[in-house]
Amino acid sequence: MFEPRPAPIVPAAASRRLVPLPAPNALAEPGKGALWLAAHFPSLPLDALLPRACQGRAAVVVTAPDDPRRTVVACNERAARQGIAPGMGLNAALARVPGLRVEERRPAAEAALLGRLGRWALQFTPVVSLEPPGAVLAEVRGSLDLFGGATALVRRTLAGLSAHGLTASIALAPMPRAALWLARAGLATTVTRTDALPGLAARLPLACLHWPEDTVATLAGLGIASVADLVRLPRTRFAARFGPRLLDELDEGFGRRPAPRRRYVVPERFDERVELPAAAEDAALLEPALEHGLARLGAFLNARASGIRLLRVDLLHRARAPTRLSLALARMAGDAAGLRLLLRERLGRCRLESPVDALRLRSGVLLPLRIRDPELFERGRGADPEATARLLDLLRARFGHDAVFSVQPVAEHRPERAFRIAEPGLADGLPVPRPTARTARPLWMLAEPQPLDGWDGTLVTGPERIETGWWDGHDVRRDYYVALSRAGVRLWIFRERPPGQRWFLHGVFG
Amino acid sequence: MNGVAELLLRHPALWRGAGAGVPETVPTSFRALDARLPGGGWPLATLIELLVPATGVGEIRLLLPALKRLAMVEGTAPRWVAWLAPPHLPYAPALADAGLDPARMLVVRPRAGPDRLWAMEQALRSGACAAVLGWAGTVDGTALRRLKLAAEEGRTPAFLLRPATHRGDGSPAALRLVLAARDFGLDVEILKSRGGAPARVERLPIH
Amino acid sequence: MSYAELHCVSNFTFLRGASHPGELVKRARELGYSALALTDECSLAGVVRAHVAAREAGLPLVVGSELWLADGPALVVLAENRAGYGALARLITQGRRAAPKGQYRLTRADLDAGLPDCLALWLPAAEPATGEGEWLRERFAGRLWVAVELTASGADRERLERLTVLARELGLPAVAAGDVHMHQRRRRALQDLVTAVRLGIPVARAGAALFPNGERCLRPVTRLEALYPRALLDATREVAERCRFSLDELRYEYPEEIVPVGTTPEAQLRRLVAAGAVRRWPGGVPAGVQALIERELALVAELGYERYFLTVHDLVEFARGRGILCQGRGSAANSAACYALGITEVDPARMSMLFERFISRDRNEPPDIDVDFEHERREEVIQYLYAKYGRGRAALTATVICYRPKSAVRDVGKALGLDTAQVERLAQAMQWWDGHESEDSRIEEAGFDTRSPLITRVLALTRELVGFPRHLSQHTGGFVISRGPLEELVPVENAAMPERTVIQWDKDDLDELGLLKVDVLGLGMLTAIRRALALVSARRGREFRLPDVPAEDPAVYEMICRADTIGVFQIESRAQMAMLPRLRPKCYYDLVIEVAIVRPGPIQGQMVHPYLRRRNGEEAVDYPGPEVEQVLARTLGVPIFQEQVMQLAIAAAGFTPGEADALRRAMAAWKRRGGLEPFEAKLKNGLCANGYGEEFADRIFRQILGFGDYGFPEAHAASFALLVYVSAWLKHHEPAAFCCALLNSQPMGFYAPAQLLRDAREHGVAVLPVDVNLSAAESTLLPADDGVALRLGLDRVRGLAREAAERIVTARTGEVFRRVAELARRAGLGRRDLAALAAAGALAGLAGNRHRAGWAVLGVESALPLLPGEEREEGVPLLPVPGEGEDIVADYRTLGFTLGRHPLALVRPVLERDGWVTAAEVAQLPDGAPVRTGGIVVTRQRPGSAGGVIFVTLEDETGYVNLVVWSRIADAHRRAMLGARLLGVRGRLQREGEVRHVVVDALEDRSALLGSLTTKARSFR
Repeated sequence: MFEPRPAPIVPAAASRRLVPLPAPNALAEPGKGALWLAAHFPSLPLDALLPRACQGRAAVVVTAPDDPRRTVVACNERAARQGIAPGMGLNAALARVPGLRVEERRPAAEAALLGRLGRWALQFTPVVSLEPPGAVLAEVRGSLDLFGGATALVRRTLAGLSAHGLTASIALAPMPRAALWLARAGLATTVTRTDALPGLAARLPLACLHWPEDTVATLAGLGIASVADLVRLPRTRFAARFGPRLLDELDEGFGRRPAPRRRYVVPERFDERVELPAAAEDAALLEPALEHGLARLGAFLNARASGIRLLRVDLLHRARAPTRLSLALARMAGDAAGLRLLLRERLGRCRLESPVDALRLRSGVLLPLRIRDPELFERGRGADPEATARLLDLLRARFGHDAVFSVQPVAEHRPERAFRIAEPGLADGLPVPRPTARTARPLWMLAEPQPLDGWDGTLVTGPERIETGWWDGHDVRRDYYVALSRAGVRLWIFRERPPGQRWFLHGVFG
Repeated sequence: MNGVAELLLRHPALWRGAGAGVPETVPTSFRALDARLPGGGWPLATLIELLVPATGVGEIRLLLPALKRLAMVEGTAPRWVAWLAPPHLPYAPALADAGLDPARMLVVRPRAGPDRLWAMEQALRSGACAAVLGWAGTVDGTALRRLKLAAEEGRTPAFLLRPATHRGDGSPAALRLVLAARDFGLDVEILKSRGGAPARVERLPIH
Repeated sequence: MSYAELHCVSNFTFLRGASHPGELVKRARELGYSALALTDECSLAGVVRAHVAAREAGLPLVVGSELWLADGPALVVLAENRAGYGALARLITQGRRAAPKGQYRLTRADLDAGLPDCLALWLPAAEPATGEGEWLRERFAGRLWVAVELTASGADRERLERLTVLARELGLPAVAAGDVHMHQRRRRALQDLVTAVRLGIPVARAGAALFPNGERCLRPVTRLEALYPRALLDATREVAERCRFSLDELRYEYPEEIVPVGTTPEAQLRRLVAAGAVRRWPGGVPAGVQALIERELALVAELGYERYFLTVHDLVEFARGRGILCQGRGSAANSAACYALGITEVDPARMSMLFERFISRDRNEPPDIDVDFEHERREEVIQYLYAKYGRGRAALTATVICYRPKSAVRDVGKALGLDTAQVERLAQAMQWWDGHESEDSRIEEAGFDTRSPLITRVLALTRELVGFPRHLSQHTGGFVISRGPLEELVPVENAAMPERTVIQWDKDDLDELGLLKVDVLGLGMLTAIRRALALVSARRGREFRLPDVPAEDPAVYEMICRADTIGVFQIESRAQMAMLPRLRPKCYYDLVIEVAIVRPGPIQGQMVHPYLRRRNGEEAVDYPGPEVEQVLARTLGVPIFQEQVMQLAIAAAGFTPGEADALRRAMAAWKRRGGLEPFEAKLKNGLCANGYGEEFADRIFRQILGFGDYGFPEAHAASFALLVYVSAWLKHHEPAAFCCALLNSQPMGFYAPAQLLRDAREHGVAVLPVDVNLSAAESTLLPADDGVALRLGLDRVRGLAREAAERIVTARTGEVFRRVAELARRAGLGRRDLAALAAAGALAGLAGNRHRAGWAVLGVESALPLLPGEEREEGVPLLPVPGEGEDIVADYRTLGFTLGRHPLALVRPVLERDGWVTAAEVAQLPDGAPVRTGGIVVTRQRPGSAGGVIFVTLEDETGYVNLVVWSRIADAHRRAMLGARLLGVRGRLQREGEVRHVVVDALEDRSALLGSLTTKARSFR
């Protein structure tokens, strides 16, 4: 039965601020089947992109990029106060708030945030299920005692979320789908018995079902506004008109049909701490502990037939923040041997500011290990990808990531912008069109053009006039010449067009 | 697939010397120079020293045709060329103009001193590169020998570019050339070549 | 030393050229070039503008085109003479017709026979293919040059040497050329920008597609001398001097078939006019009219315009024969001859207008007649034109679509890397932008820093880009008809619509060259009038035609004076309605003035109030001089019409007729191109010299600026006034037929069906709802107890396909529908159609209320495969009964109006509590009274001429309230202003006679109240 309670049901969505939950009259009775907690996050698309703390004083909306109308899917409080609401077209929103900050929805970020919320929910119960796009379910019957009952659990959950700047609407019910409906409807309530739900159905609008838009519109055209109106319809004729799947959903909600959920499992990572027998003041003294940690990592990876592309090593000091080392690998590492070599190089470059008490090794995401890692580098047979990757890792471990790179041409007339530093081997796949009728370019480019005062070499060819680049504020106006220095070196020089008229050396043909 | 050996045999840019003891070579693509070099080109899998009076006399233009032959083999992915401690940044459009894939140029700008030779050694030993170019000043004999060994081990040609002031230094390099700009060309003096004799080639038409 | 540029594209090579043709010509002249060739890529769209500029600048213009053959080579072709021009136009037509709109495709096969009377410049590629040169040499023997284009690429010397050798080998002369894309070097930013727009990528990523430098401009001769050998520069002049063709040689030749064999145009026109006059005046042509006709015919003969009148007459005859209502208007239309010919209905006896007023001996341009046809049947007329003259001789004129601030800032913003949201925000802010710095504040309001380099760049480039042609579109109805093949006169290309072709020139271009055009326009009111006449005929049981409408009915003028004019042609807008009670039209000519006076010209010239004062006898009617009296007597000394201003310029400011005409033309174009300044000084000085005050001169000039927006000559107004009278007559005497005809001719006019129906019901017309068993496809009239009732047609149901409505009517013949499933089967309706009918309440007779009908419709789908007669009857479950509010909301959503109570009637108790008064009560308040009211927003208008004021009309259950919202108030209440459907208002009543406005102090959005309509207590049935 639905417990009547003195306080009114407060729709969480209406206030958008977290309201303290009124205490349910009766505590859930333990051992009487499942009790599901549903947490619905109405502004997840926004929270995923821009945590509240970063929103500043701006009115922010999130739009769906592939939607031609650019419908607003979420907005912050400031935007809502200025008359913006989800479902509005972007143009209408901009007309209301010209200075609106517009972000594009990023499903990947939303999924990631939902995943984090799922992980966070695991502290309350091992049975957690993600309900994309914006809700998390948790079976909490067994945890009620641990957390001091439903009220305390909900309070604690809300406080935790609030600390992370998140707004949620939370409801509990024996059926997961019913809990979701209640949460989406903003009914912050606890239903403990299956037969209590019909009493609430009139307060569940169609929108809380998350059914397809045209279905909801059709139902609204029949005067049906709530779940209560729905269940009044004859079952078979409802199914004939709207399909059996929706009927099944209703049955799941009302407990007439089981609703299995897919359990959420946290992706595994390696994270271990290795204590040093004594504080080490020299990097070389870290080796045995490192050896130990790497061996455990190796065993961990081996057991899972996985490899990693990222390893973080924190050197923990007693009195100060850890020294953080990070190894990003060009190839996937599946054993500790290769890592050891790289870490040694890396540590060799590292001066310890303070004695180290312990090490912490954390892996990135585990990746299934294949015999070869085809992702990087090779598409052909001309070179040995493993060897290249090893070389790259080795050089970077010693000189640092940025000291090893390749260069790539950029389609651009300004010579100093016609290339960029690039990740070795990762061409973006697009052939760079070479400007037609361009003359040869020197192999060595100076980082900065050097003034040539009193220059007396010979001009060989030219001028090649380059005047372009106005769009980024670095408009150049130059006449380039190939010239021969007295020492016989072939140079690429230019004269600034008026007003400067000075000569500069820009490249050497090499 | 029989591995590297077979590949090397099918490699259109490589050919095996006729007699034993003659190293594998790749043509320099300058006929006058190829004629003076044992095996008709740059020896592979060993150390070659290029001594230049100044950066820019044409040392890279001398190497580019061979680098292209070594790195860009039809039917296979482009191979790597390592540039260790170059005096300037290699300019990507010029590399592309020369027919090389700039994305396969591995540029390393280590700090000074022994690090450079260490990096060059690693690059050679890895066998991952079609050629390794390194720039250095004073280098002691031991280091040079290590480089040569690494080149042989990794079966990779090592081009070491040094100031011409070091022409008097002893060196284990298989080939030592002194370059000098003249008019619009390049004079090449073969100081030392294993299996060949000192010689001079004048005014190589480099462009 | 001099130079002729032979390879130059303008911005009519869309998104490549970065200068207007006129700019190029002017700059070439400044630089001392001996000639300029305009060679847009496979196009002659810009040559007329260049021609005009060249004539003014005194620079020889060569007409040519750049062509890139799909299978190579690229070349520039220049017309030597008229024959060469014709051949070039034909070739361009061929290439354009072979490709989708906006593109062309030419191959070597198209040029296989060469191009007679044209010279060619070969544009060799970076790696010249000798074969191309040889191929061209065969086709242009003795007329081919190798173009050497040096643009400081760094290898100019090598290029020059190489091409010189190549030319020598091929035995061809070489000539210098510049591949010009802009008139000045500093246009290179804009050139880069249009390139990026063309490629659809930001400029920063356009890379190699951009030119490396600004050399593709018109360069000083001294610089060219430094680049090219003298011989190559001399050759440019030789080439240019061989091209003797001028666009002045094109002269229109009228179609021949319009005159029967064995007679002359003059005799034919005279015969037709005489026959028409007998028809118009069965009792004998009045002597005055006969004299007028004689004078007109003499003038036509003198100017040689007979064939033009015959052409228009032929068109009108065709329409009459088909029963298509039409009416001519325009400078030549309001003549006794045109009345006799049936081109217009304006009886010269009813209004004294002088033909000479509209056709001038001095203006060397053909007369202008636009003919309006019923909009739904205009296509028949167009097809007739094509059938009669062939596609080769008749085509639509082009409209050059130019960048406007909004479209320009969109393209510029995108190309400079702003994201979509920013671009949209900027575009919104530039809605009313006119390029002035002072407008920047609006951009800052939108959150942009106008001092930031990026925004500065965006705005500067936007300013330059505005006015650039973007593409050619088809004019709504401007036709050009030629005697010979049109494509030898001007290139013809494909329009967006299949089977439509459009010439590369617009109306200004045709005007400029003095070519003939006929405007075949569509007018919705003509359709409505024809329908109303048909309904009246049906009801009266005898034919009732346009001429049967009694003239000058005082009751009709009374109605007009009350501003009871919803639905009436032209005078139904809010501004017109405000004027009617003040002007109080009493006769036809008053309507002519009424139509013309509420226009930007007279308003900006501040001529409205002086006219009203004089009309009401509050101010003496006097004239500054006798010459002015002649011009302005019929408008009480106040210039109202465009023609009067022209005549004033002649009579009082010393303009020659030619100058006045140039002024008229500049007037039409100044918004796009500017160029009125020289006239301003001359006009003002002239008026002042003749004793007119500075203030008057200033007003006249401002009036001229106003005409630029919507020039509305007396001749047009006269034709329109006739339709005003006829539609007003129908509204007054046949309100049901009038409303029904308007509904069936939608969309048209200012008002939506909701307002038209409301107005009709207020005039006593009974309106019956849409019913699937009773309604026809369109709305109909049927006999009722007290006269007629209007039954709404199935076409009112939103979302119901027209074909479905027709199937319903066909299937219903003989037997009505009894069940929804039966309806679906017999009329072959799908779920969408049924759902639309159910939602609109049109199934009430079959299935009950909307909800029950909707449920029944959903059940039909599964029943569809059943055999006929097997429709299962299933019970209807418990569904909520729609409340009155819900029904009203659904009516608006599905029909756009309701026959039930006005929504505000339902929430009136709430509004009363808030102190709102109704529209009817507002109307009773005295001037200056404070007002608190509100209503549903019917219209929001921000007229360009109104200086930032927004006009809003609100509606409640008792009537309308007109608001005046100053921009300051609108900005302060931006959200309510833009978003509210139910708007609450606090303000002050301003009344002047019958005209009332509420001048707004504050606004509030009360739309939420409308939402409450649907959430009332519910019952189930």
